[in-house]
Amino acid sequence: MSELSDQLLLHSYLRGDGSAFDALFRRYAARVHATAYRLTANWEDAEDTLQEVFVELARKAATIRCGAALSSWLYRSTVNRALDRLRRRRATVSLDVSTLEAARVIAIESLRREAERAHTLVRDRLFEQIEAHIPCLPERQAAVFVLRYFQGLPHREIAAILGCTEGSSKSHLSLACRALRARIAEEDRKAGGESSRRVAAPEKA
Amino acid sequence: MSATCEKMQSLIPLAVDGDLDEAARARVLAHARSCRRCAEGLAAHSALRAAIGQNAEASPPPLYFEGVLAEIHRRMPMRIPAVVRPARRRRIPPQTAASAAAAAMVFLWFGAAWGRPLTEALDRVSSRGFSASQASRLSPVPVAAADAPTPVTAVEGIGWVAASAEILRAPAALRRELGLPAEIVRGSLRVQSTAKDRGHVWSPRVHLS
Repeated sequence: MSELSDQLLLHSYLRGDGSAFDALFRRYAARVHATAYRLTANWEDAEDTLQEVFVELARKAATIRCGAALSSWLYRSTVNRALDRLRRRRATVSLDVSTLEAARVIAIESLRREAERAHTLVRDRLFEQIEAHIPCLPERQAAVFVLRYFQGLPHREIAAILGCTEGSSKSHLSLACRALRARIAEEDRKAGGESSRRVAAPEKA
Repeated sequence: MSATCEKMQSLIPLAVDGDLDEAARARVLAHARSCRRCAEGLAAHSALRAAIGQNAEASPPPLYFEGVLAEIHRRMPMRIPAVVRPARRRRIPPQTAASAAAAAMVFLWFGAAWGRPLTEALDRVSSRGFSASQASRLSPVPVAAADAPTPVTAVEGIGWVAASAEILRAPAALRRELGLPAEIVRGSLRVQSTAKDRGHVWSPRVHLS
């Protein structure tokens, strides 16, 4: 089953083969989940997004055009739903941010204790910082950043998913990278310590 | 920051990612060699990319996703219908097939509304199935192909009824083999109960040719 193309599986599903839907889920679940998790930095939101995307796929399978790539449809739906959730969470309370921050600090402390080599410590801390700051980026920038760097998609495909031009996708990525580097540098500057000099140079916009 | 530096800074991620052509990439690298700020930007972006690449976390285990899939099945609006194999063959002229499907739907609707067990009503639906290899030789007629079943209504005591019809074209060999007309109208009916037998979905697929 896993050898079949997405369109064949979709067609089989529409003809009544429920296992074709399951095969599509197993093919894309990890990618959908990872994308949603990176955008929201929240496991529950990522899982809910994963469920919603595939329930929507079940409902709208017949309207997905044969020519369109199913993966693009899934990524588009994932990005939209994950950003919706992020927006709702931002709108509720800042408590979530502080919770996220606390979780991040705990994770960094845990890493720090366990790290054996200094460069590993710096790299992992940087990763934690990137992870924590993605949800703070403007939505479009966050989406491009996650799709390009965590999903490895080319700008052409990202543009198709987000409904923008390839140039716009590249531009959003540049802005996202600069914003992240500036945020991380600022954070390091406030925290002081050796890593601030090694991780990122502060930038003036 | 000069205008050149500003432009180079925006090109640095693309240069590191390999999303620039060779000439543009060479320009960025040459500039970074002579500009401390851009060199730092280049190093910072390379560190960022390395951190992402080296810390890519493992996916959750397959068992986790199977649990999510089970939850999705629970939430899905409809079960995918199993093909109901025919008890007996019955030919219906193509021109009457659509109205027959509509009539069958109405029958199901009222059959349940009058309090009869829904399964009994479903048993009365005439159906005709094809083997998988035969079905694969049928091709949908693009213009007439209808969407898959869409919930058409929600009725107290029934839940919802969905119906669809599509026209399939059969190749000559298959027509001779099975005695089919050139075009086959295939309809499907899906009925979900929200009253009796809550949670069960009956999904007969009705083939009318």
